[in-house]
Amino acid sequence: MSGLVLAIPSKGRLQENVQAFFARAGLTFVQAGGSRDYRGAIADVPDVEIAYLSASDIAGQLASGAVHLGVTGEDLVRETIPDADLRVKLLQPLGFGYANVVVAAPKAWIDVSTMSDLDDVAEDMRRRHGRRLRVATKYVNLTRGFFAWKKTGEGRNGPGVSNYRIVESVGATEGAPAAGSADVIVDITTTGATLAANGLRVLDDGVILRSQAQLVASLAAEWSPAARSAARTILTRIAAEVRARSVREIRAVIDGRVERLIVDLGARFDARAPFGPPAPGTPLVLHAPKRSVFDLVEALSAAGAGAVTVSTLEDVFESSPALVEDLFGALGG
Amino acid sequence: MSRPLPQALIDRFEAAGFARVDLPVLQPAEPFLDVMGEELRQRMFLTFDAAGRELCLRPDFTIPTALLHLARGEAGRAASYSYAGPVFRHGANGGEVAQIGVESFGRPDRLAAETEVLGLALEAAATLGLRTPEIRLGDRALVEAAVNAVDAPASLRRRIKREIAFGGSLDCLASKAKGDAEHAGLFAALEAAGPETARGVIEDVLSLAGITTVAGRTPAEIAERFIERSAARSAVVSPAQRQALKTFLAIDAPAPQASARIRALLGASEAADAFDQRIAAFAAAGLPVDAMRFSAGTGQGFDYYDGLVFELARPDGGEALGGGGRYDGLLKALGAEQPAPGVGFALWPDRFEETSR
Repeated sequence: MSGLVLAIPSKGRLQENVQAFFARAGLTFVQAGGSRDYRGAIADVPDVEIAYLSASDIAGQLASGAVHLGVTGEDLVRETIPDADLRVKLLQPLGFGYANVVVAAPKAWIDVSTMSDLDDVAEDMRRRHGRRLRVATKYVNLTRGFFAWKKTGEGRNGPGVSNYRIVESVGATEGAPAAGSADVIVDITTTGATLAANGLRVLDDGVILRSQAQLVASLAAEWSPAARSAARTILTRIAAEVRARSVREIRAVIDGRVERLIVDLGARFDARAPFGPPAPGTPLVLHAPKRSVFDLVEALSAAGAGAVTVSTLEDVFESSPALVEDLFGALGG
Repeated sequence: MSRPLPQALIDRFEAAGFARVDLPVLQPAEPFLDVMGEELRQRMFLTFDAAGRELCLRPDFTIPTALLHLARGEAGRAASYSYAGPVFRHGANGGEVAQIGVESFGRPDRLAAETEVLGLALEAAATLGLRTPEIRLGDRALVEAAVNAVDAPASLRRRIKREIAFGGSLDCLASKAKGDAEHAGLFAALEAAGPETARGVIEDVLSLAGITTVAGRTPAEIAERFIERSAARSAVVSPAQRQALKTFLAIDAPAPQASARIRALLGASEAADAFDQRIAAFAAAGLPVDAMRFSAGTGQGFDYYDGLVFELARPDGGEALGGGGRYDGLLKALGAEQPAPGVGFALWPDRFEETSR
C-alpha cells in the first residue's frame, strides 16, 4: 500500500498510554480482528495502517524506512540508530515513558562520584589486576559514545573512561555488580529505587540521556502523496491537542485600545491573542502557557480589567503548526 | 577487491628473516577489544560462534601475529614474522583493505631492531612507488618522561597521560577538581588522622557494612584510592610546569633539530638520551634522518605502542600510508608473564596506488 504506516508499541502500559494520547487528539485506533491482530487503522483517517511492534523494533523500522511514523523511547532511537539525526526526526515528546539512561557504580565505592573517578579506577584495575573495568549494559552504543574522550568544542568536553569493557547483559542489568559479572552498569532508571536496592548509585555526571516516549518520523521511508496527506492530518490533530493542553484561554474586557497591551503580554508571558484585538466592548481572548496564567491575570487586572475568566480548551488548531512544519521541513519537497 | 599484493615485497620480507605467517581471517574478538579498547567495536565486523563466543574478521594483523608467537613458545624468545592480506574494518573501502607488514619480537638489541624495521618499511614504500615519503616520528616514552617530570601526585600524572593519549583537553592541569560534598566530613577527619589510620578506618567502615569485595575491588583498594584522591584534589600543577609540558607537547621539528628542544625541557634524561641514540643509529644506517620530522603528538592514541612511533605519508602530507613502532607491552597485555620487546610496521598498499605515478 502506498499510504502511511504508523508503528505503535504492541503491549503494556506504553501501548495504553499511546492509545490514550492519540485518542485525546481525536485519533481512534481500530483493530480489525480484535486485539490479537497486529495490524490496525485509524477511524476516519484514510490511508493509514497501524503496525503493532515491540518498541525496539519500531526504532529499527523507522531507521530502515519500513514505517513512516512511530512511537518509541528516545533511548531506543539513540541506541539502535547510528547517526539518528540523519535518519529520523523526533517530532513530539509525549509526556510519558520517562526513563534516564545512567552510569551507576556500587555505593561502597566511596572514592567514585564522577566519570573522571571512574576513569581513574579503570586504570587502577588494569594496573592491579590486568583487566578492564567491566560495564554491564544493554545500551552498548550509548555507553561507547558517552565513555569516549571528547575534545574541546565537541559537546561535553572532558574526560572519558578508557580502560573499560562492555559486558552485554540480557537480563537484569542492575544485578550484575552484586553477582560479580560486572563492576558498574549503564541502564535505565525512573525512580532510582531499583538501583538503590542493588547497592548502586548514579554518578554525579553520569546521566547519559533523559528519555521519554517520542513520536518519531522516518526520513528514509517512501513518503508518497497519500502518506504525506495522512501524516498532515494526524500531526495537525496532535498539534491541536498538544497546544490545547499546554495553554489556558483567558478572557477579559479591557476598556480602550489593547494593541500595546497584547504586544506587552506576549513579551512578558508568551501570551497570544489568536483572534486579534477585540471589537469595543467585547472580551479580549488570550492563550497563554499554563504556568503563567496567574501572573497574566494580575497584569490584566492592573491594566484595568474587570472580571477575568480562565478555561481549558479541547483543541487549538493553528494555521501552520510547528509539528507539521518540522516534518515537512525535514522531508523536503 | 584490491589488487593482488606485490609478491616482490612478500619475498623480500621472507629473505630478510621475517617468516611468512598465514593467519585465519576469523579471530576471537576478545583480545582486540581488550588491547585496543571498546572504541574499536563499532569498526569491527563481529559475529558469534555456536557457543556464544564473540568472533571478528581480523581488524589488524599485529594481535593475531602476537598470539601466534605466544602459542608457539616462550614469549621472550626472538622471532620475526611477516604477513600480507586483507583486514576488515567498517568504513574503509567497503570494509576490506589490504595490509602488509612485519613484526619482530624478543630482540634485545633495541636500536638495531628499530633501525632495521624502519629501513625495511622505507624500502617497501619505495617498492610500492613512494621513494621520498614524509617520515613522521613520535615517541611515547618521551611523552611518558615529560609527564613524569611534572611535580604532581601519581594519580594526577596518570590522568594527564590519558588526557594526552585520548586527545583530551588537558583541563585537569588548570583547575582543581571540585570537592566531594557528600563525603566532605569524612575527608576532613581522615586527613587529620593521617594516611595509615585513615586506611584502617575506611576498611573498618566498609567491613562493618558487610562489604568484602565490591564488584572486583577490595575495601583496601577503595580505601587507598579514597585517600589518594583527597591528596590529588588539593594538588595544583604550577603554571611554569604546566607551560613546560604544553611546550613539550607542541614540539614539531625536523628530527635532527628536535633533540635540543627535547633536552631544553627534559634535561639529561634516559628518554632524551634514547631519542638521540636512535637518531644517530638511523643516520649511521644511512636512513634519511633529514627527511624525518619529530612531533610529540605523533602516535598519541595508537593503541598499544609504547616507544618509537613512525608514520609514512606523501611528501605533501595527508593520511598515513603506513606506520609502525615499538610495543613492548603488547605480549604481556595478551597474557605473557613478562613484557617482551616488540617492533613492527604495516603498510596499506592500496593507499599507495593513488600516490604512484
